[in-house]
Amino acid sequence: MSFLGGAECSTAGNPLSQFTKHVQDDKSLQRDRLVGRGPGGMQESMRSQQMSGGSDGMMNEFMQQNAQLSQGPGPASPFAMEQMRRELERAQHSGSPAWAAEFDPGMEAPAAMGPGMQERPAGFNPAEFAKFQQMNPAARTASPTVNSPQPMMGGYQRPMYGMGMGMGMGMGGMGMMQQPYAPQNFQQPMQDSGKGKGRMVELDDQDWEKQFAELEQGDQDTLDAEANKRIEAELNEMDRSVDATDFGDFESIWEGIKAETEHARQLANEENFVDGMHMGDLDQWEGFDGLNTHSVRDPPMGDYLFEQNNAFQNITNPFEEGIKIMEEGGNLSLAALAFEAAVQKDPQHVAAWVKLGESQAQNEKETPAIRALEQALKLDPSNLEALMGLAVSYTNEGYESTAYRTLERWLATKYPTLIKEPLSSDAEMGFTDRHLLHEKVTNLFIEAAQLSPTGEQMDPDVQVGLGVLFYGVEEYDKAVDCFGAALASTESGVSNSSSQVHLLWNRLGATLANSGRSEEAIDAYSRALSFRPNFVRARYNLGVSCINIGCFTEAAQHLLGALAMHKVVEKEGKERAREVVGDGVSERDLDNMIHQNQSTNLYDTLRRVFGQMGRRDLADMVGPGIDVERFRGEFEF
Amino acid sequence: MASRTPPAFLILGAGVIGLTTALTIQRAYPTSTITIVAKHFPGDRSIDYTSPWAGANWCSMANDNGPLEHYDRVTFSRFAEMVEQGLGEEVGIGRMGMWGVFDAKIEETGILSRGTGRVWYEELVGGLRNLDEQELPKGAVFGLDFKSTFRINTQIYLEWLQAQVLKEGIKMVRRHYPSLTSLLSSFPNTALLVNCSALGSLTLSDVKDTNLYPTRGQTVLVAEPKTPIPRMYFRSPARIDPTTTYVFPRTNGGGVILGGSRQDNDWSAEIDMELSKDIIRRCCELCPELGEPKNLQVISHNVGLRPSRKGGPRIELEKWSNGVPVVHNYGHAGAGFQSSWGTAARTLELVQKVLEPSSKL
Repeated sequence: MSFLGGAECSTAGNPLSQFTKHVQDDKSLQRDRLVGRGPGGMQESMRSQQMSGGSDGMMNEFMQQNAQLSQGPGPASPFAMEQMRRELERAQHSGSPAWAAEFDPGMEAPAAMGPGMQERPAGFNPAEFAKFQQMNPAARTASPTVNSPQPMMGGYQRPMYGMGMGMGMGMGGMGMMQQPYAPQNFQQPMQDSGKGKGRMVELDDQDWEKQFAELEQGDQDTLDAEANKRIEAELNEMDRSVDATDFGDFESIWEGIKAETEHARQLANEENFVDGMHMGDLDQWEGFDGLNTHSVRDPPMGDYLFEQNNAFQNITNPFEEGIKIMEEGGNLSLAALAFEAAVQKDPQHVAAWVKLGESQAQNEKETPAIRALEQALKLDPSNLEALMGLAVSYTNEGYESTAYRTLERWLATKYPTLIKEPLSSDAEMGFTDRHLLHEKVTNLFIEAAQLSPTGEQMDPDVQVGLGVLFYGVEEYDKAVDCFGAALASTESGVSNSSSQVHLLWNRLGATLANSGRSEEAIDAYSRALSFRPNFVRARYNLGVSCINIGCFTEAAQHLLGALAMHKVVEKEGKERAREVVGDGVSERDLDNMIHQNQSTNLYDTLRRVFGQMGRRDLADMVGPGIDVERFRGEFEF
Repeated sequence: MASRTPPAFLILGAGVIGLTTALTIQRAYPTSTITIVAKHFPGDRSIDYTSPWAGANWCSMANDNGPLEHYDRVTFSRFAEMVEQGLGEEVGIGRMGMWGVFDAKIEETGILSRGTGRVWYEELVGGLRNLDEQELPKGAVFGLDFKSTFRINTQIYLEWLQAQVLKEGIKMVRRHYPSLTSLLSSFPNTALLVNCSALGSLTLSDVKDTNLYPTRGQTVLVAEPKTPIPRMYFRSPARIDPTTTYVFPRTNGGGVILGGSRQDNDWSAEIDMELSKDIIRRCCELCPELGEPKNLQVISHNVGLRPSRKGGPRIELEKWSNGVPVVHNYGHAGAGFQSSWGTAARTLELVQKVLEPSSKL
């Protein structure tokens, strides 16, 4: 479609995209299977409603609701191209080159997107695309990159920038117009904290159950091998994340690992001690934590690793600074540093842990995100924002059963009346039959969705949870409907709040991308980036979609752009950092601020892109010490 | 860094599923290193190793109007491809018709697809003709003539799979592990593990999939009659039934397999001679070309344990606690051979899902 100017990027002519489509066809078959399992057998499959005459009335009803939603002329369409077009128009008519906005954070927004945003009749047809395409040349004139030596990609890349920045400013303005950030958003669900807290805190060590399991087999050797392997894994991670010359840092982490291993060993030894307590059935122990998020196969994420040189440590209100950076769509690495400082100042600061996790996830750093959000949950087991964020992160990382259980906890916290039986645990399920768990949790979310009388009053956060659930079993069409419904909802929830709506657009985009709808995905990511130009994850996703349609140069540009944001070297970032932490910071300090939490995902993907371009020379330059500036000659980002 | 070197795959199990999956992954990742770890390899005959005991033929049991049918369809096409390329003899696969005789109304046999009410593979097998009254054995309700499906000489086919595996430089390690965790700690460079351990996943201490159960099957291998049997035979009240009777003349010196039995949750490796006698009697009734039971040369009595699973095969991606992705591909019940290429293809999809760059929510 219109976005991708060059012929070589057209989907129709691209064998790769055809392949993707083919694969997608195959997957669609899987959907029935995944949903249709369980005690009732296949006839409960959603799809079978066409054939079996609606054996699952509830589900049908729900799906119809969705169908109406997305067909109707209301705001349900996730692709408000009309809206985007008008915004572009405004951005151009404002007469101020969009790029200027980027360098002048104080500048008045050329386009206020505020409340009107959601009232737009949905327009998503070829004509709209054509119009939108026509807008592009105009946008280009507003862009400083107009004299690009690479006209092929220009049609695609430059409008992105023109739009991204123009709209980004629009959103910046909106942020100011709207209410200031409301703290109750992330502090509300405290009811249950006392009960869960004690249980959870005892269990901060990642895989003690596994250690028990090993010992039960009397396999001490394996235990040691396992411990060594973990150390090795940690070391490997360090190889990636720690500058080779930074021995001080290395030393301290090494000590940490030794201590951790020793601790694990101690726990394991205690097994002898507990043996008298009739430990016979290991399964019973797997569900022991009562909170049910930890099992043998849970991600052993461990504790959050802090940056060593964090200039935010010296300021008095790092949390407020972090919030400000986030709200203004500032650099996420900086925001994360601010929140790190906040939790280091006050380790009990739940909201700071939540925001730290959220900023790292948006920064395409999943492991630190999970670590931070898990910490938040330890302090406040009923923190809805942390639960939802974790469910998403677990899903991204492939820990699906854990994701479903986390969603179940979210629902049990927000809609306690719907919970008729105890929450799922490994103990009661024995072997975790993921399909049964998925079905159970999905049904709960559907019940919650049905509490709202009409579509538009649906709890958008329930829709997001449902979307994540469908996404997990590759039911992408349904997931698209859910994220679309969340965007359309007139109820105010966390997920469609001004501070998170960009996440929703990105989630819609990722779902579209995985169902082979790359162009639509790119549109959704662009929306996300229009709200938050520094949204690294959306930028990364944009790169992945470009890979999927065979546009490797563009993919590299997006990925390099994302890495550049991590580097905190861009002008805005540095000035901001200096502004916040004072002038005493050297360029080098700023460059070196992010060591501990790297995004191996970005490196791996970029390396792969260079490989696919046949550029081993470039691929070899990608890694933790990468100097993105060296790529500027060849790539625009 | 791991991603600069080609990925190292580990596959647990060397039955038809493990070997086929290894070849499928090898084709998609030609520069990867693949290691198959198993207690048994082709040539072994053990009650813990089901593949060599299989019949086997292609006669889909799937009726889900979904993925199971798809797996069988993919496998059918792969068999067809190999036979068309003239590899049939070498591979141990041959085309052959079959008479399926049913002792119940078609609606009760389970051969009709959900939703469509049709036999989904009718076109695939070149058409299904209703057997005439005089063609039907006594007491049968109806019968179908499958124009052309496949029979598999499992002995040759498994050896062929193994030969392909060796040709591609896939390594084989013979060792038994009590858990996936202990396996992974022996192979610390593993980028991804595929679990094709069938019933083994019931006992692997960190999988313990209690949806798995054995369905015991007993067969008799007899010599080929001098006049070749023109088709396969199958008779049952339903497609899946404890009293199913079948006669599969194998290709290429494979003799004739007479079956069978379906005994859920029966782990016994002992030959039940009474059952064998009954099987021979039933088969001779069904397939007149076999002649009298007393004239048959019995080569061997065989017992195998089908890896049945409540909910169907588990083809699923799971992250192990040490972060290594595991793709499960087990629980194919009595459909291992006929769904092998399809389930391997689905497994590959999941492998790619985890190894290729993916969008993040």
